[in-house]
Amino acid sequence: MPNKTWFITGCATGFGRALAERALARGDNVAVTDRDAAAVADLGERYPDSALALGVDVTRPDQVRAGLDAAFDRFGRIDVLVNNAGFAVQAAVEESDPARVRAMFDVNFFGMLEVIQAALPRLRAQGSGHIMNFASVGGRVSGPLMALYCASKYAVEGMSDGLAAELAGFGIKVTSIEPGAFATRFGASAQMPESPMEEYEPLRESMRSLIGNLPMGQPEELADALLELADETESPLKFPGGIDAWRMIDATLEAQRAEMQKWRDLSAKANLTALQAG
Amino acid sequence: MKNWLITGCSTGFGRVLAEKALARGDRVAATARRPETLAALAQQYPDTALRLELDVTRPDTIASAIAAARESFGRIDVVVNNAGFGVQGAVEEVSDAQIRELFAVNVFGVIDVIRAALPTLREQGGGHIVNVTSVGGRTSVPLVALYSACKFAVEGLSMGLSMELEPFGIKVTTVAPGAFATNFATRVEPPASRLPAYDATHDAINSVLEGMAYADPAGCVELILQVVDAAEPPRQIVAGGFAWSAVEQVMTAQMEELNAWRAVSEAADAG
Repeated sequence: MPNKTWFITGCATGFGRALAERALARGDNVAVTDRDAAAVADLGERYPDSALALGVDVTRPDQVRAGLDAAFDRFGRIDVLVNNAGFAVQAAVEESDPARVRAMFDVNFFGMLEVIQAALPRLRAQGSGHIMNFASVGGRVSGPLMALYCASKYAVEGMSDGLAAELAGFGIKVTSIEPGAFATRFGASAQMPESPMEEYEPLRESMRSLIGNLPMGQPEELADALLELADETESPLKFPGGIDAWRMIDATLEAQRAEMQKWRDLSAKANLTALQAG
Repeated sequence: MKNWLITGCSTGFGRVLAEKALARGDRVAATARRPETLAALAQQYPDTALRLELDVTRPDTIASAIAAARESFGRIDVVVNNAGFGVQGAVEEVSDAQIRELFAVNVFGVIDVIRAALPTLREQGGGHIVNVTSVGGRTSVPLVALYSACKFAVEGLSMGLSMELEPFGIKVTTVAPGAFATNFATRVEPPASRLPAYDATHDAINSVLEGMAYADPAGCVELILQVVDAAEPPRQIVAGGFAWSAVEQVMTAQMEELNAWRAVSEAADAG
């Protein structure tokens, strides 16, 4: 397998870290980026020939452009662009803080878009590439107290699906990565509401015990699956990470289809009267 | 008899929905960024129509409109988040400012209206939030990826929200219209810049759009009325037969892909 060149955001911990380490260990080139440059410096030192450690805050367009410039200068190309940086606001919609909701979208969605937009002219010019956007199982299946986080991840899915169709003609692939529960710092770093409402405490309690009992996958295993995806000629539009995520998505699709069937007649009646063509 | 608060009533679905609900005897807080566009409606239904300014990007107008509706009607049974607009351009062509504005109106505006309405809905012990999304909230195609991102976001928001609000007797439904002859067609912005690389895509999409039959918005509005009258309304409903088929096809493709890649997914947390 020829060496691949990666550009990965959010490599301080979690999936970004695991993916960078696995790719470097097999001899790939990696631009290892994080908003905290010091948190990725060790990889640059350990792999001086194949790792480029960079400080990139995805909410800072100047840093995104400089990071991509540095990666293209050093490696000449980017085969796999991995948009991994993200975090969760874990609050009921009613108790959520508007500024925090926007700050979450800044990283999870607008930051991802910034990286994609800045990379696309060069990916199109090289005539190939694979964009892997970290959504979540929460990009396909939403839940209570996570509705706002899921909204940001559904947004990633909706953007990625259309983007994949826009870029197919340029030889560029797009995959939404949908991990379930993994042993990353994701849960610990979730932002709880500043002023929690007692009305939502029963829900919070039941979610706590539900999440506490979930089996957690190891990020290195998902990283290995992504190496495999990067090597395949064909790639999926959406990739559930882990069998639990797979099952949740499968069950949700089934439930959504059943609901669609149930309401089919009402759906179909809605456009019986055509007003105009064009 | 239901009491409604509807955003974006100057034209399109919001306008027709307000008219139909008023015509059947419901009370409607019809809202718009420019309330002067609602003068005829208020004149025709002086006792049941409340004409209010509500710009979803201005929290002060959201708060005052909800307070006025509650004050006037005593309760709000149905909140309809309908205000929105689109941009038609490749991801690479749409400017940061356009993307921010899209999300400000189509996503954050919806979240902010819901957050502001919830204390009223919870206190009165029930209600129904209807979020108008789009067939583009269930499937995404070239040049509308960012509009779809907004509408997907509202679908994801609504699904979790409906579970969050079940204990309070509050229902949440997303209505995803296909092609309807609303003024929406004229409220789709071009991208900030055009790149020649996407010319063929623009030509292809434009010819699809030009060839489409656009249905009377009254049909979608009738669907919304039936949904809010249903004892057990759906969480998601598609408005229009063609849109229904398009969503069904995408879901079938997703199921197929899911099964094709199952082993790789399974290996990702096998340890």
